[in-house]
Amino acid sequence: MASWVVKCYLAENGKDVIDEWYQNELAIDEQAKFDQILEYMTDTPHHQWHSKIVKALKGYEGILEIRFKVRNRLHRPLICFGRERGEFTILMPAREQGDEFIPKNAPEIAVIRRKEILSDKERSRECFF
Amino acid sequence: MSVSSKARLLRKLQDKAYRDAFVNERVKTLVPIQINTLRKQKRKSQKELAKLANTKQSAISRAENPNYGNLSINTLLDIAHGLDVGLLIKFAPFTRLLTEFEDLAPEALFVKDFESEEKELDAWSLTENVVPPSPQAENSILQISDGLKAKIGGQPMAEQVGSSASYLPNNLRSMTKIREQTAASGDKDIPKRLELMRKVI
Repeated sequence: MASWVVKCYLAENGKDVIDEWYQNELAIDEQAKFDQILEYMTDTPHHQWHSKIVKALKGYEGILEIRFKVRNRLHRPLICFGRERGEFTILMPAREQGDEFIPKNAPEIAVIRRKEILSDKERSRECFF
Repeated sequence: MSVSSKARLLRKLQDKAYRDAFVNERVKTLVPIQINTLRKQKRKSQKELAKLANTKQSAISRAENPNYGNLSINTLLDIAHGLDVGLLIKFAPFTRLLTEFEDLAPEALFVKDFESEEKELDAWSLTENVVPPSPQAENSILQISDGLKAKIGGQPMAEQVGSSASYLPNNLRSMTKIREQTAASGDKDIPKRLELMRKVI
């Protein structure tokens, strides 16, 4: 049984921007869906992750997106594998509207954040939603 | 799921809105994941499974999509037929709901098809099917037997109630207990009560 450690990206001031998104921007039903997707991902080897749930983001090396839809709102938070084996980090909350990311530069921000978490272990911490 | 994760989930479940959403997603997210996992374990393409399930590839694709959210029971039944596995749809307490999908690893989601279950099915066919009595039936039996216990003396209740006792291996334990716990005389109406007891049984 795989057992991934899920981490959240931390801003320069130490603020957990992912937890803030989860608590303040996701409705209860969206939280419940996201929780179950994370539960599934942590139990499953990454090469067996369901492609409708997680897939590599084309054109952005090392960045993957989680896709979950509740009441026609499609969320696409961006993640990457972490510094250690068996961990992945949620880098950037994002969603899709009209075939575009909101925010539009979410993938570019994720690339920058990935570099930050890979070079500095203080820029991520385990998520406890 | 770790103990701390369970504690966090339990806290969230105190909120009715979360609880409702949790039940939704246990079905809408995890069932499609299981269909996808089972199909891959059986090394079938969506088209092949669709043929076995007598449906269209697009129906399988939708059924495997955790974001589709509109799965019908008929589609699930078609897929169960195609995979030759059972399908359980029943209301359940939260403890059952939580333990059913406690481990979401592919091997935990795996389900044997009918033919692969041969040994288990054989073993099942050899087990005695003892259905516990409903609380109401047991209560009635206890009330009726109240009047009997004094007269029965040292004999097991099974001998007193005759052939109908063969349906009651579990009930008899409580009856024997009653017989042991009570004594004294007083009731002259044993045959009538035994008849009533047979009806309840």
